[in-house]
Amino acid sequence: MITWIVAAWFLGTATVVAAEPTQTEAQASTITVKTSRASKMLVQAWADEYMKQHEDLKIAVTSKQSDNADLEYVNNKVEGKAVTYVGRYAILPVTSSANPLLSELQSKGWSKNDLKKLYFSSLDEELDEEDEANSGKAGKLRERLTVYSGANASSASIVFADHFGFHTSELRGNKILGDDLYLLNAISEDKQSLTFNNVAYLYDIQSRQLKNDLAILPLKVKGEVSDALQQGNLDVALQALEQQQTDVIPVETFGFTYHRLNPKAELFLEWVVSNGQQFNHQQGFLRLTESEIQAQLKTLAQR
Amino acid sequence: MINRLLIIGVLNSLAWLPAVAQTITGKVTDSRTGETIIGATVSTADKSKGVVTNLEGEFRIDLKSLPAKLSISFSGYKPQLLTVYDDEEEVNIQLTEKQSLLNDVVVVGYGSQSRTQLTGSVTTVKADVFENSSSATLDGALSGQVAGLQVTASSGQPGAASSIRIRGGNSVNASNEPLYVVDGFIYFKDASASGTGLGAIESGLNPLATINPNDIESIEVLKDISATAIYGSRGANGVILVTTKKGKKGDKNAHINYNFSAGVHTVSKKLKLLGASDWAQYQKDYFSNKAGYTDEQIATLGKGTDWQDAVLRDAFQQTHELSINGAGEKSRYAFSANYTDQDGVVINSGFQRYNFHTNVEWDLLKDLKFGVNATYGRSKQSGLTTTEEQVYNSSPFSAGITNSFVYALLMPPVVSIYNADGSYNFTNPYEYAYFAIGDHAANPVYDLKESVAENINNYLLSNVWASYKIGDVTLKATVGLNSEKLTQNYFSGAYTSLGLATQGIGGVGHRQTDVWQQEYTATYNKDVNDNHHVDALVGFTRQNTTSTFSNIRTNHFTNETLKQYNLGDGSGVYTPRNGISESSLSSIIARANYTLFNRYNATATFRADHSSRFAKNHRWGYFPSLGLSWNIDKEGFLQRAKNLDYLKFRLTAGVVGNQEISDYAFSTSYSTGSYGGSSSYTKENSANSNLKWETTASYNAGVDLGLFGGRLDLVLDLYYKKTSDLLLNVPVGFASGVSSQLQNVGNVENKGIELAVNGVLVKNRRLNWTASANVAHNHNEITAMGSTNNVIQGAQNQQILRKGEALGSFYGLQFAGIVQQDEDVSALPTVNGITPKPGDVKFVDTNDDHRIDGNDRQILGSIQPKLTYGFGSQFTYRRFDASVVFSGSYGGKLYNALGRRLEQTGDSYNVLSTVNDSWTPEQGGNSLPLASTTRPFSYIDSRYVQSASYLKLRNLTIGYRLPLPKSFPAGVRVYATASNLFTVTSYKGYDPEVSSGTDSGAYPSSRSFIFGVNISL
Repeated sequence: MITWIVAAWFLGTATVVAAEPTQTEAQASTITVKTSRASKMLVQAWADEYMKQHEDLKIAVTSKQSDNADLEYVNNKVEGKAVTYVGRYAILPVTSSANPLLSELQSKGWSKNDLKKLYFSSLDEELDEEDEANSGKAGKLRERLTVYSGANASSASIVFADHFGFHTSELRGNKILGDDLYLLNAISEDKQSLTFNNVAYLYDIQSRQLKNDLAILPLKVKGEVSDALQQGNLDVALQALEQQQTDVIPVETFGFTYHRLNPKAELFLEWVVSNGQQFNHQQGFLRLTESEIQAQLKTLAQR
Repeated sequence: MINRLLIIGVLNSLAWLPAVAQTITGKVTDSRTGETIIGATVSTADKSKGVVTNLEGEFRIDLKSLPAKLSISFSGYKPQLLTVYDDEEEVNIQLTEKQSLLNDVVVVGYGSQSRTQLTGSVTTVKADVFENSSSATLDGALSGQVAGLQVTASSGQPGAASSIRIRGGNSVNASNEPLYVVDGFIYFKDASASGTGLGAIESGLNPLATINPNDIESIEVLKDISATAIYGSRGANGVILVTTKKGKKGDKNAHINYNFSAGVHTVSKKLKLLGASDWAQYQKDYFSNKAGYTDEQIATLGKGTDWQDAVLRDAFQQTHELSINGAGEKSRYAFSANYTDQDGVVINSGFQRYNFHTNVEWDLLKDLKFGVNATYGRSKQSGLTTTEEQVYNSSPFSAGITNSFVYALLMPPVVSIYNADGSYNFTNPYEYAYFAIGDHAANPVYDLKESVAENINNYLLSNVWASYKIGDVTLKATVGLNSEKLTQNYFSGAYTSLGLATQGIGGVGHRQTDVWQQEYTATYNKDVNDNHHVDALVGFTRQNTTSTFSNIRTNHFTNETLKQYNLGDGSGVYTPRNGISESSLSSIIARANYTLFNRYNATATFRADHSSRFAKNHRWGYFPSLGLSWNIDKEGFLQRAKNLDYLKFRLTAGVVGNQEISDYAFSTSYSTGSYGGSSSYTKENSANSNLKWETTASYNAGVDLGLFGGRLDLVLDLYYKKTSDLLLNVPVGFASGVSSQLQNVGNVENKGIELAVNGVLVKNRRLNWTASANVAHNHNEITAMGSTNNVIQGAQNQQILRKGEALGSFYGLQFAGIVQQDEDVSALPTVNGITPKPGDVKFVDTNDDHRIDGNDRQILGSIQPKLTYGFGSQFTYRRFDASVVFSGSYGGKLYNALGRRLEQTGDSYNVLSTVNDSWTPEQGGNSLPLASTTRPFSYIDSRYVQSASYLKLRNLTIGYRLPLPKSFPAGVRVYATASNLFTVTSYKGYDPEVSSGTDSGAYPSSRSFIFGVNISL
């Protein structure tokens, strides 16, 4: 009896191994897309919808480290590489809803300068900047709040810092290694703290509401945007962010870079840039503007 | 069998389950440069596990579970503590450097270098030192800032030069001043060579007055041979590199800065002279009482005329400065304009300067840069007229009356400045020797107000340069011009002390000096890989100097209204003088730096100079040097050393030369004159076909140490310098037509130790408190003088050059007290063949021959201090800032010739109140002899070779940045600066800082109180 069980086990293993497509076969009908964890749901949604329309094609989406992906995610505008941009994301400053300083944090709208004081310290530690940093409400709060930011290469920290004219090394406080989602863990454990994150991580995609344990810092922005953010509804927030540009909220494009674009991947990207935009909001991302869409399509056509 | 299969199967099944992979991989890099950091420690927070980054900066560490905390640290960088949540992505951890001294990039000769790679001794002085100083010239702000750098004012006159010595003086006849390089352009001018031949004007313009201190970004002082060798012949006395402010590339904003300051200077010290009552009584007691004062009249005289007060005043200073700098994508620019107007504490004296400075740099093409630096300005100094340095008996100079200010001190307090009707009083019954003709005597207040002694310098310092980069090689060409036109105006009217004998005398002199300079260099810079860095420099430079001068003087004026602008009115015409001199210096320069593993550094330098100033076969000089340094902190055995930021050991050796002598010292020369109505020629110099370079061999060992995370920095240097072929004026036989000839005969050694300490006492967001101190000891000695034994120097033969003694040694009699009433005079040595009597001065009979003469003179000390030091502190608290700088000197001596003059009793001149302690039969006394008209002994004595040790509070500055609304576009800082607030010294004259070593009544120094406002946009 045991002999048969063991034999069946080995046979099953061999069958599974044999069933793995060969590399050659995979290359012909599979596009591999390496993306970030934050955008994985959106890219999977694109992939699922596209595969419905192209049943002979398989799109493998992964957020883990892998070599030789056809399309590799980039989370900001890059130069010197072939890139197609497929969407945008916004980064908002957040804290724990259990932060003991929450009432003070919510007592005013924070301007760009206020956010600089809360989140950054200058490497040169110029007295003028330090003194100014300590003035005003933001200056008084900064010493009482710890800032958490991500140290990974794909972290939104790079975009956030650059938007305010700093380098990631100039972010105050503590750094984490790991996906930016864990920044929310960090502020949950250390309640008297701040962080910032992709809108897609801040809202529950199913309920469309701001996650219960989070509070977005009120910002000094136009009334519509401010109201939209305070409502706590993802779709309202995304709509407002698309309609109103504001200097206080970093909004960045993301896309995919590639070495040699195979025809199937090119067609997929064309679809993402055009028809695929309808899925962006669903997963917490902003759509490309019309002019950006035209620019991306033109770039793809020239390949 | 079955059991084995089962086990294999279980193991096989386990292979399909996902492994618990808690392995974190990543890289550690520098946050500023992006370079990988090799050998950084990555460990768990509890230190239970740790790894080190490899040659690629990579690490791999296994963790038991996530999340986990990681600690990353590396020497010289701030440590980081991170929380690891997942291992899905390779991480890049960026470490930020601690701000430490060794991270700086310093300007060195013909380039810049990381201090980590430096082998030489280089000290940097930053801009804030100059911004806080009220000195109109940069040398005034340098005092006390750098170990081994001694700054001594020549006089307190505004705009006057200072004497700067780096590690002691090396030469007697060649200049001892360091070389200045301003934005890469060599700028050298010895103040003593900047006259027009006119004479009669005390002091000269400070050559450094052309540089506005507030234009300075930083100054590097190159002290040892490795740093200075690239300047070859000019580096023997050290080099001061001046970098002016420039726009910062990438800075999109233009920065506009306006600074206004105003304040007052007051004299630091006044001498205590006798008042009218005391002076009249002293005249009645000891002399002929010319005015016939009775005791009752003497009692009513009171203080009388305070001539010292009358010629001194509170002097006003104001400065306006505007600077603009900025940058575009392909250019950067800086522009500044400065106006300084500083009155002197002596009446009718002062300094004014207009100065414009610009530097612009463009990126013409990707690898082609072009730049222009230009400074234009005009300085004017109004100073004191001075008596001619003649030592014959009837010359005022020989009587110690060196200028109008000194004459005012000598004026009897019973003589008034003005008559009852307000006109000047030209009657002085006590003056009969020097400044009186008939019943007309000079009035020093009138002298100072009506005489003219001006130095006016119009100058242009400019250079254009272009550099082109080809791969790792940069080619650079620079052409520059330093053009200066000096005008000296002099006039002493018929009623002045100097014009009395000639019914007025006036003159005008001009000197035009043009220095053309070309430099062509090729620099190679390469990081071969992470372990090897090489850079090399080769180049050619050439400098041509042409200087022409002319002057004319006339006397016997009938109309003085236009003073020196109407010399034609003077019927007596002195022989006009003019001349030209030219010199050239061509050089080949080469330097190579090599760094291994960022810890072992070597610098080799070679320079060949051809100077026209030496005899034909000795014009070439070859100057090699080698420097080694070791960054010991980067060695593995020190990696775990707590609190150690950096530790560096330096060794250097090499040779430099000195060519700063006159242009034709090697050649026979004659001066023109007139004799008996015809022109005449007087031989001035005898040719020396062997005249060659003075060379200085120099060795230095140094340590740089940084501790406690940038809180403490120490620099220690030991050095030895030997100057050979020292140029001395050697007595020669009369057959040569001159009394002495310049020859290379001697050696001088300097050896010493320097220590500098910088500490950060407190550093947090609101409060920043730093302190620094430096101390240096230098031993200077003449170790050879050829066949010459002694060379006496000075107008009063007060100094001597002698083997085994220091340069600037004083030579005189040792004072032994005053002969007392009950003393056995027969035992005393005779003076001028006469046995001393009670009340006479006694001297030590050094050679025991029972007579006092020149052979009893001995060394009484020298101008060389045993220690020079400085210390200071800077303090900032929120919007307030304060800084204080002290500097001092210990062990040097100064000959107080003015004090000797003012204690010389007689019936013509006022004296110091110390004369009240003169010996009398009733009260005795052992410091000053019985008052009489006897001239003092011709040799100086130890009473007047006094300690020049001092401690000065150089600068105290307090500032405050105004809290302005955010909408206000500018930052405003108000400040107050006090300079030379107090001096602790036992020196009895005005000021112990007299660069010549002899205080003949130099313009007194002043303390200042300045208030200012700085507006920056």
